Parts: sequence; structure tokens; C-alpha cells
Amino acid sequence: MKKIAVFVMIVALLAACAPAATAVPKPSAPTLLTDKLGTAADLVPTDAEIKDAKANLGTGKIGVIPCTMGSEYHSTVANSAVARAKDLGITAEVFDPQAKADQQISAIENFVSAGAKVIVICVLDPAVVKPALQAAADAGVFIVQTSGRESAINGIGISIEDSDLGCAAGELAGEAINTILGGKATVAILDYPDLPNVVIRADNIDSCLKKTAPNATIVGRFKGGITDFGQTSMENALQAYPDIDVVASINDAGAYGAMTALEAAKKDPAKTIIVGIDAEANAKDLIKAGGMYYGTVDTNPSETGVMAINAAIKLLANATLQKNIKVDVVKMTKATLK
Amino acid sequence: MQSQKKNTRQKILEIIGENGFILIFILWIIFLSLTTTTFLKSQNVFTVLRQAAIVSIAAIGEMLVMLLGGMDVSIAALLGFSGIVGVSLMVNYGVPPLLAGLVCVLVGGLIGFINGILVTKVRINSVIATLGMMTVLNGVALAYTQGKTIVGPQLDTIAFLSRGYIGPIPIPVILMFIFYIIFYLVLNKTVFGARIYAIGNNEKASWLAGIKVDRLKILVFTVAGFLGGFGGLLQASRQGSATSSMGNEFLFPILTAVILGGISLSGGKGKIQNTLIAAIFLMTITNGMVLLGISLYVQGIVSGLILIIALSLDRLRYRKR
Repeated sequence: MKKIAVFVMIVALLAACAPAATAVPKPSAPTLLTDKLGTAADLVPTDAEIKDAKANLGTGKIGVIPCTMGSEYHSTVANSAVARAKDLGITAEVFDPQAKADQQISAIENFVSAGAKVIVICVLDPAVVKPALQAAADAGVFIVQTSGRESAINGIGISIEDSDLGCAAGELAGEAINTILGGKATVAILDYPDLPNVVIRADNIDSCLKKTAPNATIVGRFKGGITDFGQTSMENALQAYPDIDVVASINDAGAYGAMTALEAAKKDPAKTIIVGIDAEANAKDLIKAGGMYYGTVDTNPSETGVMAINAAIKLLANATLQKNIKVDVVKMTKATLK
Repeated sequence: MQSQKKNTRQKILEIIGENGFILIFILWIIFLSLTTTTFLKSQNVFTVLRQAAIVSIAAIGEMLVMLLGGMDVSIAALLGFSGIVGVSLMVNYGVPPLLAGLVCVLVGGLIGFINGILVTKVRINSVIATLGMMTVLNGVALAYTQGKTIVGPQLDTIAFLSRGYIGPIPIPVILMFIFYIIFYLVLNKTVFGARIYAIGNNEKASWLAGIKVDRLKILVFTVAGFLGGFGGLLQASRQGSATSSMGNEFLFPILTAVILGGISLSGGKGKIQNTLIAAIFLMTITNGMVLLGISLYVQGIVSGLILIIALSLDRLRYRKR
């Protein structure tokens, strides 16, 4: 009888211990690494992660807050994020803050109230939205930032830094000045001072252009950002500085307006250079056509949207991932577009 | 002798009060002429006038509505939306430019007509009704364009509207003056114009006098829509493309031009020629700051100060009364 009792106890102990010894407990939070910059490949979720993420999301959703839906770049990021979420069978909704930081605050609050468990956001002004993002994070919402990757709260940042973009455009313009204009040029920079992040682009266009083409003269910064501003500014700038032969713009939309003004001023397309940022379809067509639109910087908006949702899946699945993810900057010219 | 001096002083004050912003405008022109070498060059003058064309034409419509005592805050959105329709017809559907341009203007008129119905028949305050319309138009524009730029070689055929010249004078400048002459005559020499002022001064008395107030209001909103639609066509021609945000930046200059031009917010008072001068004044502020080389980061401060000074002087006349 004693033997039987001992045997039963041993079996019971083994049974109690067996599961504990074989099952790996699932982490209750994602592990964010900061040892290096991650890439798109690091964010591709496994099937198990997708399954876990869906389970953790439940009836919740992913809120997508772009900077604005009024520009091709930002709308492409948002639309591709929604499309990727749909492919995975997850609900993602977009709110358009129309380039207003205060609207982003309302959008964050509304998404949290509506049960969002991840917010994908292109932060317009980090200082303005930080308290709202912190409140969302405190409520357990993960944040995926598609701008300003260093400042992501309770989540990760996926972006091309504005400084990288600006520098790429500055270098592109500088290279064109050296090869086409023999190193000397009169340069106008199209800026958009209403948005601090965009000013960083302009600052870096300025510094990297000076480094690449030290003999070029930058006559000033003028308001761009949208086509009409770019055009009006360039019309006025050409009155003050008729020798302007290079325009480096913080985006393509403003550059189109500058191009119209330069064409109206009968500038020689072979000796005039325009460089933008965003790689919009229209910009690529203009570059291929071989006129004064020399180049643009590809910001990879479709890939950024997909990466944002992949990151959301990883966060929801409590996976391990890098906190800062890099989107590659690609300089586009007629040669590279062929 | 003393009363003569007093009269002269009063007259000077009166002139300043009546034309305060024009005085600041003249001083600004003199300042720019002395401090820059390019401001008075014909090329620069035409650049400023060309830039003023779209704002000033749309401002006529806004002014008409404000003379009635209303306000149309959808005018800029209407301008952008009409432009998108015109551009889309040409680029996406291959509609001939003349027909697409006509539809563009008609769409503006139709939206204006709906605004008029909302204000007169549904009895919604004009600011609220047009604010709603503005939101709808911006939303539809965004949904239709998906944030993308609509562009195509078809638009080259309408480029002459904003970039062409007749002799040395840009076509938009000619169009601007034609519109102002027509509406100057309409407002000052026709019964229609007199009725607009009458309704703005006293709507009830006008109704009692037999003026069909609602019908005239609808007509004015529709005309404002046509003018906004035409502005949209000019803007599409000017930028050679259309985007969902096209027109968004026009509301502030349009309203500023009308208010700076002295159109009373309560209606019934104001001269159309002052709206034109105010629109040109606004453009010279931006142009002048670039010519002066003022940093982009402080331009907002300077332009705001100039506007405040101009409006303050202009409001002397109200204080005097």
C-alpha cells in the first residue's frame, strides 16, 4: 500500500512539474532593443506573431494618424498601412489631422476612447503631441511613429529622419551643381516654417548642399510646401534674384510651383536644376522627361505604411524588435529611374 | 481762422479715416521703391498684379455676399473643388478644355446656388451653412484625389489663362480688371446693385419695399460661386495641376482683402474698387518682404503688423462716428 502511495505521489509530482518544465511563458510586453537601427526585414512578423497579435487585439483597432492626407507621400503611407492591415484581417482606421498638430491631439484621444491598441502616427510637432501620446501610452496603447524615430513613446519609430532626407536632397542638388553648372550656382531653398520637422529638412538641405558644392551661393529660404506657395515665392524671388538657377525644395509639391515660375521666367532647362523630396509620381515623370526637374528623394511611403503595421503586429504579439527602424533614403535621378 | 484750421484738420482726418489702408499701401509702395531696385520694374509690378488676380476675382463674390450682410467661408474650398473638377475632366476623361472650363465655372455656380438655398430657404446662418459646405467640399476633394496630384499635358491648353500675355500685360491681370469694371458697373449703375446695398442696409425695409430678398440672395451666392469657380479654373491653369489642398490657402487673403477694403461686416457699405486695392496690397506685402530679403521666419510678424496698422487707421472713421 505504501509503495502504491509513493508511486501515486511521484506520478502526481511529475504531472504537476511536466508542463512547467516544457512550456515557455509568453512575455507580457514587447522587448525593445536599442543596440542598432532595425530594417524592414526585422519587422516582418511570423505566423505565430500574427496569431498572437490578433488575439491580443481582440475587437480593438489600429488608429492611423498621418501628418495630412492632402499630400501624396502622407496619403500613400496611410493608405498602404490600411491595406496591409486589411490583408492581415485587422481593422485600421485613418484620421486626417490636415497638418494641424492640435488635431493630432484630438485624434489620439479619440482613438484611445474608441479602443485602439496601437496608434500609427506621423508626428507634426513632437512637443505639442507628446502629452497626448504619453497619456495613450499610459493607457496601454502602443505607438508606432513614422516620423522622428528617436522620440517614440511605448513603441517604436520607423522613419527616414528629416535630417537624412534634407541632406540627401542637398547632396543631390550639390552633385548636379558640380556636374551640370561647373560648381557655381545661385540657389533658392523652399522651406515650410510652419512645421518644425520640415525646417530640419531645410536646415540639412542648406548644410549638405554647401558641403557638396561649396562655391554655390544660397540666396535665401522661401515658403514652399504646396504648389501655390512654391510658385508665388519663386516668382517673387526671381524679381530679387534673377540669377536663381537651382531650387532645392523640402518636398515635390512646392518644387512643382517653383518649376512653373522658372519656366515662365524662360530659364534654360538644361542649365536649371530642381530637386525635391517625396518621389511623387509626377516628380518621377518630370525627371524622366529630362527637363529642369533633376531629382527627388524617395521616401518609400508604401513600404513605410507596411512596416508600420508589421511593427504594430510585433508590438501586439509582445515580440522582440528594434526600437528604431530605418527606412532607406534613395536619391532618384533620370539615370537611376531608367 | 481757428474754425478754418479745425475744418482742415477734420478734413485730413476724414480722408485718412476713409482711406486709411490706402494711405498705408501708398507708404509701403514708396518705402519699397526707395529701398529696392526692382519693386517698380514693370516685370515685378505685373508679377504682383498676376498674383492678385485669383484672390481679387474670388473676393468680388465674397464682397457681394458680405454686402448683403452674410459671409461665404466656403469660397476658397469651392475654388479648389471647381478646379479639381475642371482638371479631372480634362486629364482623366479627355473632355475638351473649353467644355471642362465651362463645367468648372458651372460647378462653382451650382455650389453657390446650394449655399444660397441653405441660407434663404433652410434659414441657416450664412457662416454656418458655408462652413458646412467648406467641410463637405474639402472632404470630397480629398476622397476623390486620394491626396494625389492630378496632372497631365492636357492642362497646357489652359496655361495661357494664367501665364499668357496680351501685349505686355498678363491675361489674368486683364481678366481681373474686366471683372472689376463689370461689377463696378453692376453695383453702381444697376438696380440689382442698388438692391444688394439696400438689403445689406435694412433687409426688412427692402422686403417691405417689394424687393424679393431671398431670390436676390440666392442669385448673389450663385454669382459668388461662379466667380469662385472661375478662380478655380485660373488656379488650375496657374499651377498646371490640381491637388486636394488646392484653394485651402485662399480663404485668408480673400476675407482679408474684402474686410481691409472696407466692406462692412454688417453689410450695406463698401466700395468694390477698395477690395481690388486691398487684394493688390496683400500681394505687395509678400512680394516686398522677399525683395527686402526679410527672413522667412519673421515674414509673418511683419505682414501681420502692416495689416494691423492699415486696419487701425481704416477704423478711425468708425470711431469718429
